[in-house]
Amino acid sequence: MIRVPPRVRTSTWLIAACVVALAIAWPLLSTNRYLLTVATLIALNAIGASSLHLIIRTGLVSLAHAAFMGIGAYAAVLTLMRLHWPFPLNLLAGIAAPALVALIIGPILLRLSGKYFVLVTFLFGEIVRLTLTDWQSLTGGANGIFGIPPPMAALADSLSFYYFVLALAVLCVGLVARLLVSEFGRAIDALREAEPLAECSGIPVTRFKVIAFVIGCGLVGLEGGAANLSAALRRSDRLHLRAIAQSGGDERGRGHGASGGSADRHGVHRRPARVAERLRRAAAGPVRDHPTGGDGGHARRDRRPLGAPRPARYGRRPGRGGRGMTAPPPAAALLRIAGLSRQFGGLKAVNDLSFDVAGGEILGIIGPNGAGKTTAVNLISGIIRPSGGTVTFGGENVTGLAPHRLARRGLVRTFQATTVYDKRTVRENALRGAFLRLYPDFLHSLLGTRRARRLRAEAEAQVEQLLDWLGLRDVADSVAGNLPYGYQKSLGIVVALAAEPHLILFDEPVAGLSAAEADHVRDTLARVRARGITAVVIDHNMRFIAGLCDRVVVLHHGQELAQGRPAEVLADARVIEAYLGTGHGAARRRRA
Amino acid sequence: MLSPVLLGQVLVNGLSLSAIYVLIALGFTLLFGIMRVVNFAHGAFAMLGGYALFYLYGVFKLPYVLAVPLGAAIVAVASLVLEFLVFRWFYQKMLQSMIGLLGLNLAIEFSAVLVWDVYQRSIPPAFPGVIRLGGLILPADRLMVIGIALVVLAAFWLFMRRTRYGLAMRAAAQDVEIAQSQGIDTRFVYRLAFVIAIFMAALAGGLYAQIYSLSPFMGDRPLLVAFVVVILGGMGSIPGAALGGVILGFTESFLSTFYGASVSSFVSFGVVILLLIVRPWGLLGTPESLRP
Amino acid sequence: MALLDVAGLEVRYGRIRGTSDVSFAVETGEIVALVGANGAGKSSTLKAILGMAAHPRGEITFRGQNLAGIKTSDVVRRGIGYSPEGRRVFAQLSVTENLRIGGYTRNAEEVGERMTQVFGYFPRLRERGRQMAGSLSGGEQQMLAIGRALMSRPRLFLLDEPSLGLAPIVVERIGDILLEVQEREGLAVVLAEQNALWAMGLAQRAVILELGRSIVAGDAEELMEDPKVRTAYLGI
Repeated sequence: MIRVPPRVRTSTWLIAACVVALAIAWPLLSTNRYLLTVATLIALNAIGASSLHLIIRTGLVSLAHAAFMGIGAYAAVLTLMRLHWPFPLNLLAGIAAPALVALIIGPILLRLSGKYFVLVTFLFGEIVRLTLTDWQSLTGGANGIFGIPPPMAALADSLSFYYFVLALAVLCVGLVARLLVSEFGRAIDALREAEPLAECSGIPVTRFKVIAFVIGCGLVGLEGGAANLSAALRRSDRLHLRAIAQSGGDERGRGHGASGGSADRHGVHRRPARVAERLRRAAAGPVRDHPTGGDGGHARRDRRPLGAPRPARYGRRPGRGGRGMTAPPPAAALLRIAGLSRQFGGLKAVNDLSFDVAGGEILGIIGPNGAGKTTAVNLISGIIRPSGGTVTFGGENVTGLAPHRLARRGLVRTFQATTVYDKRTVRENALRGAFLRLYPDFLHSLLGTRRARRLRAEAEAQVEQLLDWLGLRDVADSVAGNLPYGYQKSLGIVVALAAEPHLILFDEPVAGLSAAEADHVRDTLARVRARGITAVVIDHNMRFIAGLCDRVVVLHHGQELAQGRPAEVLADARVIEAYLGTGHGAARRRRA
Repeated sequence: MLSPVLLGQVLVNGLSLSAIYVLIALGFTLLFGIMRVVNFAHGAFAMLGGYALFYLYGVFKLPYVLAVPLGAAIVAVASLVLEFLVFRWFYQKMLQSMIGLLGLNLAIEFSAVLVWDVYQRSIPPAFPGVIRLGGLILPADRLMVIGIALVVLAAFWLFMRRTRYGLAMRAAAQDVEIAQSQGIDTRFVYRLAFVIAIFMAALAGGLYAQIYSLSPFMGDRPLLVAFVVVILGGMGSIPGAALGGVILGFTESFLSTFYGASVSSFVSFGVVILLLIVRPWGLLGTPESLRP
Repeated sequence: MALLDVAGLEVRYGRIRGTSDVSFAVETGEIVALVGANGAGKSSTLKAILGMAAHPRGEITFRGQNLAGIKTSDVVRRGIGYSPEGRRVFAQLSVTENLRIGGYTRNAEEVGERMTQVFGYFPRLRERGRQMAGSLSGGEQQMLAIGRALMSRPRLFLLDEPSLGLAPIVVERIGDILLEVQEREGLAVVLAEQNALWAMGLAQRAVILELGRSIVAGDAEELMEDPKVRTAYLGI
């Protein structure tokens, strides 16, 4: 049984029910043909609007939506007239064709950042339009296709067609609404608001964007297909390209077409789309490489079985002292960096960096401004790919893996700039961090099955414990953006902890904090360590690092300058010089 | 098949197309490079330039060489109203500019429909006939287009390279914040860039309308051209726009003569989409130019 | 009256604090070192003086006039030069063109004269006059950034982290030139630096920033020798 999801208020359901009832009942009171045509158009537009809404909710502005509607329209009509496919089948073709195209080009286009995605979809839309116009033999060119028969006798008259389209509209809008309140929809919201943050919690951002995009394009194809199956809707009974382009153009320009309100009527929560531009600066450039070339079917291999505890592959391993070696090696490194390098054009931001992190320790990475710390963190956490070297985690080579795959293996990070989802409450933030625990799979999430609900309940319980433990219970319902900066930084740590990691990379956890706030964060980190979680802390505040870390690595000009215990490293003359700079007393000329 | 006469025609065609495309693309890339706006209404301004030429030359019968630049100037100055009302809210905001200017494009196009109706008009040819050069037969009006465009482009080049304001614009295109910190008043530079960009678009639109035909939706094609050229050459790169325009003009001329117009469109779009995926900063741009 | 007076400066970038309470003064013709760790507020302070920070609180007075709300290009016209963090030369303009931009606020004759003088300070730049600024080495770019700022004959020169990423010997050379310029022209300089010893070696006075506050100010030489300052600043 599908439970009423709490995110849709009862009042919304009531309004939706009323509107649907009205839509069903009104033709019994009026036989005005014009009104009937308008109502049918509204219902059709509702399909298109909800499909575009789904795509925009993902943070994507697609200017190719009209083109996909055209593809669907032509697919439906051509399969009917040329291939003689029977009625419901040709409509399905109208859904499948644009969905297929979206599936093919989606993974490529969706790697582009928001703005370039808009441009490419614009161009793609034009290509489709030109293709459809020029491919005369197939589409009849600018003149269109004549003499489209009604799909079946029962739908030949306008009234039954109206009810048919209305049913489709309710189904589509309902589907989109359901999607958006499901766990999948919540993940979509997360990735729209702060993509790197979402990805580092384990959300497979590209895959989810592709899914939303494909569904959206398929649904608008349904609108195109359905629109052309009624003689009543067309002046002449032919499929005309410009008509599609125009109505698609309205959608293009305003995003919701002529019946922007229709989406609201049926209970779809609309929020203005926000493209998280600030995060673009925290992450790398507009195109990020995906080492495995899109997620495809690879996910299966490393996904944990549902609800099972994380396999204890990682963590301390017994020493090999009994094998006759001169000294037992220390506990095997949880994280091993070897020869890591990254070049930007001619500049070597990180050069041949190597160090180990043992399970359970706190390692500090310090260095002056421009030393390469941020790049190093981004390399290890999968935000950018290294030019050379390897990253090994728990014995497995994870070099170049995307952040969500690293999260699955237990490696997460916090961010320096955008630490949290600032429009969400503390509790919601933490729950987003627990994505890996609470997400069943697409189908279960969509249907809201018992399994999905159980996982959600478990995650909620776990998050409550976490909030309690870190003293954030009192502010659990406050909006994160309203909290003092120190709390936000702590919340960022909670989000990382919610993913139940083995190792957390902390990116400048005390930057911009007062001394008191920094102490609070230090305490939090100490307790994190007490739980057995390994930590790598990047900062330039030597006092903070010295008081917290077991070992320290000093970076300078992208290379390792020194490594060892804090006291040793900080007394090292080279380190002092790197930080304080050179005095060169002899050449000092100063005015009296 | 490839007689010198045909080749000559293809070349002149290619040159005149390139000239028009470079003019359109330069304005487009100026707006992106300096103000970071993606002018989805660029084609609409070209269309307005077409109507300006139609009236000045076709109706009021002003001398051609005067009508062309005058029409463009009128459109450019009149558009300052739109700069004040619309454009200036979107400076340095790329994504919003795309949506907003898409709307502006529709507004301008359909206002044109209201004022002038949808039917196509033509601008009477300025120089009908041909010029014979050696064995080659070259259409005179295309040569005129090339001539005018070259003059304007030369003036633009001189302005950008040799004057103080041109230098300020080039600096602002690279780093607006630092340009300000050297004393450059960006508000003024923006307005100047806007006027220059619209002037070139309107000029190109007039020439384009003469070769093809004039209607309120005439600008759709030039807009696409602007996109293709600018992406090809590198968004925000002025030499890139020039290079892209030449490449596209000649490619189109060649392909459409021998293979038809649709093949030529298909090829150019396909290449551009590929480029956006593989090398989004174009042939002459730099990755830094893609920063928000 | 001090040439530049900063009092209680607070700069915020959204939620992030750039500075919370910075105060110091600069007299005509003196070099003041503004030192502190990364994130201490040095760049934010300089940007606020130039009008590049959104709604800063506190007071900034230059030559007796309040700079609040004045846009950057006008602030610069009043006599402040700026060499930004990371140099930020116009990479696709030539060296000469970069300098001409620096002299944008002056008329053409002055620019020509001034450029000769600036080349006098940086002969290496004269050699590379027509080269694209992006192809210069780090040290040369820093010299260009300084030369560019000098073109407008400022009374006050704001220098943000000139030593970043440069080899010590280049840093030394830049320090020498800075002193030379200051002697010849009586320029006041605010030198924001992480490389504290170098900066304090050049300056008459120093202001130490920590976590957005100015905590200590005084004679540069004395502060440099003070072990308590080292501990407070470095934590060792």
